[in-house]
Amino acid sequence: MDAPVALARKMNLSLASGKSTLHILKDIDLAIAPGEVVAVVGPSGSGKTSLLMVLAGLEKASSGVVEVAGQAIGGLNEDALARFRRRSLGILFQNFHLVPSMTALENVCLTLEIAQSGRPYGEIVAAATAALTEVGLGDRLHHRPSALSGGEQQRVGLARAIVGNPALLLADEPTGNLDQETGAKVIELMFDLARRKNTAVMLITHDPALAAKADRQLVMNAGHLAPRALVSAA
Amino acid sequence: MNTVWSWLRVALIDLRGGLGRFGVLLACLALGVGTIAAVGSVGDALQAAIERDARVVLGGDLEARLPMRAAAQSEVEFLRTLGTLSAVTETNSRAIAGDQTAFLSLIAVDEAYPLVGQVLVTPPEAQTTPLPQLLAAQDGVYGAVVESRLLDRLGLKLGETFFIGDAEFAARAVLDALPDAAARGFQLGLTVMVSQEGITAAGVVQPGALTRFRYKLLLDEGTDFAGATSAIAERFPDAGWRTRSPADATENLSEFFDLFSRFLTLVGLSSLLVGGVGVSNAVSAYVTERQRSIATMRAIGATGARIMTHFMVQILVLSALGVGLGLVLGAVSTLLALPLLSGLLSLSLTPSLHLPALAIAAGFGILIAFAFAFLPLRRAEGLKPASLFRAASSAVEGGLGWRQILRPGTLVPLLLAALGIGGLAMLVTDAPRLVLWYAGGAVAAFLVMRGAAFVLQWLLRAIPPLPNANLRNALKAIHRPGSPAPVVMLSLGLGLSLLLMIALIDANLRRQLDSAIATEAPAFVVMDVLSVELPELEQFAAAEPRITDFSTTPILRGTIEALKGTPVDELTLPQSVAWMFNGDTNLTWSAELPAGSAITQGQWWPSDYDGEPLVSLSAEMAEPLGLSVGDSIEIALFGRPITATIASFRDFSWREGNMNFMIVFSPGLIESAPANYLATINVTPGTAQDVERGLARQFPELNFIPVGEAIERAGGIIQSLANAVALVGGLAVISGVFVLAGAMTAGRKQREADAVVMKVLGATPGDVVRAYLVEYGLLGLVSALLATALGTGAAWGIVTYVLELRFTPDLGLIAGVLVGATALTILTGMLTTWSALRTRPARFLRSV
Repeated sequence: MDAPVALARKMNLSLASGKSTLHILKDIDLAIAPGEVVAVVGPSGSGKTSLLMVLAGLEKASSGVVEVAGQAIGGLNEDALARFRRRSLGILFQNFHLVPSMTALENVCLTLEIAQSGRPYGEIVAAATAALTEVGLGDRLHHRPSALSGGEQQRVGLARAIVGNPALLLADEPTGNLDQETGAKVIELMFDLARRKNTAVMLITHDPALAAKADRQLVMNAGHLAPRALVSAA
Repeated sequence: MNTVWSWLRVALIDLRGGLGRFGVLLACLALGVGTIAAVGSVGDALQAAIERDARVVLGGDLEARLPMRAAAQSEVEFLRTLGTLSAVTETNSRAIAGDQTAFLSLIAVDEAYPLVGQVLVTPPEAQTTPLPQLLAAQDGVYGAVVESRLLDRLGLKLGETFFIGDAEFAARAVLDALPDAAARGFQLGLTVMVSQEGITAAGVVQPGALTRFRYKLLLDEGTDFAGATSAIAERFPDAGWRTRSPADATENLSEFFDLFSRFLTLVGLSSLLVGGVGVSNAVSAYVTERQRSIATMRAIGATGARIMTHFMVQILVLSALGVGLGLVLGAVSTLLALPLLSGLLSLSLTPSLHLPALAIAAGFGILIAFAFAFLPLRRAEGLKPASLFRAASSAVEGGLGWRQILRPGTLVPLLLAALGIGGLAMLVTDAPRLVLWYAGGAVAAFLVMRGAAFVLQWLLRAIPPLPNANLRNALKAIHRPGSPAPVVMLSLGLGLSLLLMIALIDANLRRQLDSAIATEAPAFVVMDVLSVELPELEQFAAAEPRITDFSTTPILRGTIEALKGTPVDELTLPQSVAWMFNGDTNLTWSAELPAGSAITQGQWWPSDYDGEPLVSLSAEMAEPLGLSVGDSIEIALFGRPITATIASFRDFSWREGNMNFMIVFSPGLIESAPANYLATINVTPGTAQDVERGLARQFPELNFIPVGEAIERAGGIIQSLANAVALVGGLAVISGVFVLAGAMTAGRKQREADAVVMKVLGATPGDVVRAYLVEYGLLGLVSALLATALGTGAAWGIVTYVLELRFTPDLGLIAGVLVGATALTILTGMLTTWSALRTRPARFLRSV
């Protein structure tokens, strides 16, 4: 059996809030296999996004083990975490977070220019163009985010997240700002690309229908993570 | 290399389309750099002209002169063995044409003059005529080259005649420029050039302090200045020959321009430092605006160093643009200013660019931009990407804390930049102590304003909540996290300090000028009035209704023989007072303390004092000569030594316009010594020339020196220099205004957002405006009070120690500048809030 792409053991996250401490994640045990799509559902404030942030190295776990793509990330400093992210992760944000002064092509190139800065520029452009073509934006390469619809911006975000062939794609409510139809298309694309590139996906969502498309569902409730029994479609 | 290009490319792509937001940054840098470039270039041009033209300014390789007499034939013959000789005689006299008269600065030259350079005259045909020919006698009438104002004063046309003493002269040309005008310094009287034969025929040459005999030499090859000086001293050891070199001739000029240049450089640097605050505000606002992009880049793997490089490249590219604009501004200003200064200062200044000055200005600009952009960019470097997952309305991250600033990674680059700026300043001013004081003052100003904001916020946090909701929320807005109060106070405080400093320096310069011109200085000074002539002069003054004041002072001439019992020959005399020991010095006696004097040590004698001789000396003599109250001084009067005891030292300023002497005796023994008199005459305004005519007619043997008119002419030159200061100051003021505008822009988006939310929640526009007025009124008041102290202190330091003038704080001016500038900036800020109030909330909320 392959080693998990993402692993958390007895992981806890506590954050100070004024004079008190909030225990946000409690004894999280998690393993995501290579190429697996895992959905994490739960009510607002349950800790889903915090779990994603710990796996992305954006928050430091208070205790426990966190390993992603074979790297224990607990003891890394900020720059080391940045290098870890560029090597191993893709992140898809709810609010897209494209750089407004860059075109779609330049936004996708940015990932490769950061991760592979020694690579010839021509090759970077070719790879980014291919990624955007894969998400159906081959004819929108030179448009800035302000000229793109929400769905198109999210597809640019998707291309940016997977162009570097990351081991793990973290998607935080990727369809939260999209209408249902557009959201469905983006998710389909995401799953398709992930499966083709053998990229594991952890998807945060509150949409049960979307969660049902995943290989496995986990439920976050008040900082506790537990598997959800799968219900077979009629 | 690919990596570096990649980083640069991404940084420049990211800059697209956003240049408009950097208007303040570009303006602040351009103005500051432009000012320093112009001042430096003009200063370099002046110094280069002085060095290049030093021989021309002196009129040769060496100038020799004797105190009080012309050279004997044997002395002239010896001087000719050293090189080509030209003899120049300068004195004051009077020109008379019919009823008109004019006081002259008379120069008599021989056929060899000028040895170096050219006398420029009009009309063109006179320029092509050899000077000796122009000045030679024709049918018993000698030639003269005259200032154009003399023709106006005497009512003459070119070619018409006038009298000087016993000789008749024809004005054959108008004098445009003398090659050695700069070294002659300021002259009393209108300049007229005649031949040596002409001045002899006029019979006006009188050995004494008013006539100067100069012998200019173009030294033969193989003879240098030091050798020639030694040869003269060796040949005539007791004659008292004094020599000066081209460097000596230009030394005072050079020092004066140095001082002026140094002062203007400091003003320009102040402008750039305050402009740096504008740079910092602009970069901070940019970083705040780009927070999400920065966090995104961090999230996809950019390290802190990458972020720093990304934005530093952008800021340096923009700064280079600002610096470039500044250099163009400086170069154009230089090209325009040099021809104007050339005419004013009698130096040949061709329009030219001075690359070292421009390079230094560019260096200042880049270092300032780096130093002030670095902290905001360090903040950008430290931004955590986790903020991407927080709600859009989450708190904006604040500035760096003191602990972060003191970390080596932050502190070392800042210190290096500061050292670079200080080093450049020392290079330009050549005054390390001045730069250190200035640097200390600048750092103190920053710390005071920053500290004041901290203290204000702490105080407001500590006071209990006020009952009035508007007031309560307004004060909370000052101390809440992310409040722009520290930025606003720093910008407002420093900007106002700069404005006030410039205004006070300008006011003090002009006050000195006014006080020298109008009220206190006498219209005429009459030298050497014999005691037999005095009664008639007094009668004339009493009978002439236009004479408003007439006073006399006895004037004697003596030689200082010994100090504290030691003969003067055995003493080493400091340069500053050596002139008093070259031959006779003027002195007087007085029962009362002379007007405009203040005792600094010792005591003045009673008005009926009749004891052993006492003297009161100028305070300038005390320290250089090591003299104290109670020491003895021996002065020879008419060959008779008189030992007096020093009773006091006095401070007085020639600029006050009162007649004063370095040495004043007590009444008693001295009163009986034969003395001439010095008289001062004041007249009703506008009547000076008429009174001068009457005096010249009645007393043709006396010299009436039109001091008032001379001071007015000097005032014209000083006025131009004061205008130059005002111009540089004006550029600094504009820079300060940009910074103030930038300060009001800081936090503008937050103010707009707050105003809209308050409207949505039900606040009226009046509520919002009132809250704003309280918040910014308090910030403005505290900033203005501190700016008063800082600006006044800086002006005092510069006026007192750099310009060496007396400083007077002008309370009205201070109040005017502070109230006006504060009101203007608050008004500007109010307009931006007003625009937010007019925005419909729905439109604003959709754009968030």
